[in-house]
Amino acid sequence: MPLMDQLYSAAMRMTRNPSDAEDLVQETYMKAYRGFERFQDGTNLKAWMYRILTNSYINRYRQKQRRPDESDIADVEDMYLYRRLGGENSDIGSSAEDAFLNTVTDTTVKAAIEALPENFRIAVLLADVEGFAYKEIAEILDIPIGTVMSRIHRGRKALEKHLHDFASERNLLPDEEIGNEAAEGAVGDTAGTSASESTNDNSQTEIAT
Amino acid sequence: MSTDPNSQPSQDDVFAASPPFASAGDGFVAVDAFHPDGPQVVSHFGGQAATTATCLDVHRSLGVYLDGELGPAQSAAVQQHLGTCGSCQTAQAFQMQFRSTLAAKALDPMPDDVRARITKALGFE
Repeated sequence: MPLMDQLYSAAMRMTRNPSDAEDLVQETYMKAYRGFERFQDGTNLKAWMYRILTNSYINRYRQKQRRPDESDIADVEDMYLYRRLGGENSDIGSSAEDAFLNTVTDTTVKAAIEALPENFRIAVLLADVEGFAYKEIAEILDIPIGTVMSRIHRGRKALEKHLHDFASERNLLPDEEIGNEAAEGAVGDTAGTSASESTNDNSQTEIAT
Repeated sequence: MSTDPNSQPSQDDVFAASPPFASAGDGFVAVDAFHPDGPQVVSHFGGQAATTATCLDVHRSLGVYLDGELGPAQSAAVQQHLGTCGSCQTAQAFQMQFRSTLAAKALDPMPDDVRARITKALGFE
């Protein structure tokens, strides 16, 4: 079946645990097969599948939440990670940034994405991991393109900060960076969140400001 | 399409409202990616003003630029700036590498047992 690995990855980032991700992907394929007659040839199958996945996720898991996730995120400066890694300082140069990107672990990257509030997380996932265009994301999520752009823009910056904070907590930053941000790292460490703890309680994913 | 950014379609809308999923690039949404508050839709009918880009403009709009979603005028301005500014080129290279890192390190291939269960549940086995 097409797209299984991709949809499962996206479902993992959305639900944050393997058991829910499996259920979500299965539900997505069930609905897709059931509704396939209404899928029109020549339209975008991948986007259609992601629309079903996203809607299924929202319908299934929003109900579990104490309140809908309308949480906002803190404003983060442009190019946050690049600046913190010394990218603007030509003496440090690109080696520190390259080293960081090469050594940052999958676990840290996933934790940083999963710590984003739902609305921002899904938009960033669809853009940066799945590679959808803004217009496709607008159609998948049924939101205006301006909202898509805003969620991606702000979500990415918050993601950069999460990544920096998580890496700092784990001493994964280049030497000159270690400790600089420790006091600022107000984001909870969700990397240690086990499957059983992933209750879709968004209070644990919001960025403390 | 709803204009309420917070609205979400109900489950039953999944198929009923299946949009055509037109390819990117059609339509005439004009974006001001140099805006101090982040990229904004300035017009749904195109026609953004030509402009030149400062380092600050490039920093603000690099994401949209790399997404290939910047309008022609601002895209040309960013491209021109990048052609002459070494520090913005380095920033661009970092952002590109950052994205490929994200895409490469956020993957969870479906485990074989999960694949087997789903395939079975769908009646393909």
